[in-house]
Amino acid sequence: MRAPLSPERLQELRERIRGIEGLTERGPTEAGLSTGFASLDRVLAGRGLRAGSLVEWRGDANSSGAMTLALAVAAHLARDGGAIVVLDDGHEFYPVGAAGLGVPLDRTVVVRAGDPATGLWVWEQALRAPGVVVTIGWLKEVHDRIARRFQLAVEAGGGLGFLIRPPGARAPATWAVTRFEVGGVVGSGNELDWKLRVRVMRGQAGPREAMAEVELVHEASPVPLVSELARPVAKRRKARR
Amino acid sequence: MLLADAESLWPKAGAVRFEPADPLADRQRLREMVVVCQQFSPTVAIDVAESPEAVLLDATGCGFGFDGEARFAGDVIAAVRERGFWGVAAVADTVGAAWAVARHAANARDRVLVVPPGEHRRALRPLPIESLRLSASTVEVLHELNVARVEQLLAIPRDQLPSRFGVEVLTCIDRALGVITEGLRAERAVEPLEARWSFEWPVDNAHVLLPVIDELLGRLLKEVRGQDVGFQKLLWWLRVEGHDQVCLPIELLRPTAVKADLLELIRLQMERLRLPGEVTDVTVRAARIVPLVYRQVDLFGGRIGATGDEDVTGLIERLSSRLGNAVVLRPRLVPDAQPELAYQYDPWLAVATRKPSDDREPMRLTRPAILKERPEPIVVMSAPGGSPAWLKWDDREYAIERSWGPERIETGWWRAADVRRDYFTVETTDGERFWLFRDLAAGQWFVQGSFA
Repeated sequence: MRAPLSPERLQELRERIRGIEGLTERGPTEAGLSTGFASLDRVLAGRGLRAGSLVEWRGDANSSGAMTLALAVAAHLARDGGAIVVLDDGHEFYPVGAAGLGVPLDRTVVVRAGDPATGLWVWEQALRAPGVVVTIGWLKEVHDRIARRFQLAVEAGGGLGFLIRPPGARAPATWAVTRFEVGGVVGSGNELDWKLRVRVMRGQAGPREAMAEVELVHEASPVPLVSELARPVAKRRKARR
Repeated sequence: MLLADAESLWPKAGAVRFEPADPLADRQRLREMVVVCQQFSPTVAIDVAESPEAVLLDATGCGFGFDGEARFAGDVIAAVRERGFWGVAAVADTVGAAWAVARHAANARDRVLVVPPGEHRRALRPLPIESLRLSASTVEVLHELNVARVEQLLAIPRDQLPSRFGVEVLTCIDRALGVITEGLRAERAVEPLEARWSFEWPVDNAHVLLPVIDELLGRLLKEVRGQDVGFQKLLWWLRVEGHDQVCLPIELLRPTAVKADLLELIRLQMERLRLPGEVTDVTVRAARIVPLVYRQVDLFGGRIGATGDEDVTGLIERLSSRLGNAVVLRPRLVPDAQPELAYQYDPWLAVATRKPSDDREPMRLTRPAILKERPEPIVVMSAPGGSPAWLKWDDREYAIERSWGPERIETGWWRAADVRRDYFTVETTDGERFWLFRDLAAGQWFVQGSFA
């Protein structure tokens, strides 16, 4: 029987794997890009997202805020300039909701590719374009070779790729440097404020998975998009478990 | 008139269309008018203003062939009208006077105004001071002093004008009166160019076409070399034996005279091209040739940065070339109460020359980020007329923890199919959020969006 590997050797092998995956430790001067949520930044390595990397967002259910939070973070990243590319194969991206999250529509390029193969080509093109701050879209299944191409493209472009994965999707390697799982916190927040629980499964500051809570804050606009004839009233019901 | 005032006078659904200002498209139209007017005069120019409004013709000696200047100008107007536009033509001793009379004469639509020789000073006197093409700030100062018409300005001693209003006022007056000669910088309107290649034997391999197109592009670019122009729209088509010809357009946000850039866009289109048969001819046409100075258009209002702007522009061109304009889109908000009609998509290539609008809204969670193309019917349990307590959608059941609403959205008489809906944002006991509505006419519940 072979002798077990020494801790030093194990650590060395881990580092080599992380290097291949693009997860090498950042230098002390390499600060991350803030997500706009201090609580989330705190638990991320480099206190933010790494420029030129893929970020995987997964909801713990179909409508639990992964895309919503990713758009809010994209809006924050694009606040000082840059374009956002949205891959909207399902024709479901809603510009009104996105604008409400701060997404600058006049710098947003929505692409409706039509078929999966073309969609992958669009992903790669957008990730590779230096002026694009965030490329965002749903990605159900992705071959690891394609994912690797995405990683190389985003490294060349220097932006971020937000891959929105559906819940229950297989978990093949996406080469994402950061991986989040997002779920809504039931009954939290005032009015429409929405508290989300974010599990950082990869790219966290420490050795283990980290958890953060972020809150999307609803601020009433002085000019409502539509005339609200009846003022919304919050109703709370007892949870049925 | 403010846009809001105009929209209240002419409702959106009516015959009047509201479009964002598009100075570059205006300039392009003027260039087309230049081509039209070149049949009347050898020297045709575009107004040198930042947002030009006029085509200027040197009419010296031209009236002779048209039986007088009035007939000459009338024929120009008729040619413009034939192309679906209306215009005003003014003939005067100076460019400034002609511009002023054409721009500011009352009820002048489709009219010809001829200022007799030596009468331009008199023609200018009753016109507003704006007719002298003064800057907006100078006009504002003059209006504050109740100087509204040219004759009032001319009444001020000439030596006082520079010190009180700047040198610009004197220059503008002198230009209009002909003291300073104003030359016309003739516009070189380039006609569409075309190059063609006929194969000795028909070919069925798309890869053979690329070197041929490379050669044809080289010929076209050689034609415009040294003219500071580039191609903004290319058409290339293939004649295929036994089939209709295949025609593909290439549009660019910014003109280019770099062959490699154009060839790359064509190559991207070729990747998706399925030849229906053997190709006998290839034709490439430069359908829109514009000055390279148009490259200075700032696509994103300077908010991406010089190099980033170029990169994103290139990305949009590549995506549009390969996938078509209709799938590379810029969203914009529309003031419509009905959620599915509250936004529109425009092809980036069609809107890129327009000044971008800032559609940014403060953070609001009243609208989801995901909207169903068609609302999907669901089963909901609720008190009569009250908030939903339970819903079943797509064979899944959800207990509702909280809900916000109703937010009533109604559209009325101005639309054929009006809607009456009560919207609710609901939060399930699993922490998911959906956007539902009850159709008040049918009493049916639908899910329209999700906070995915």
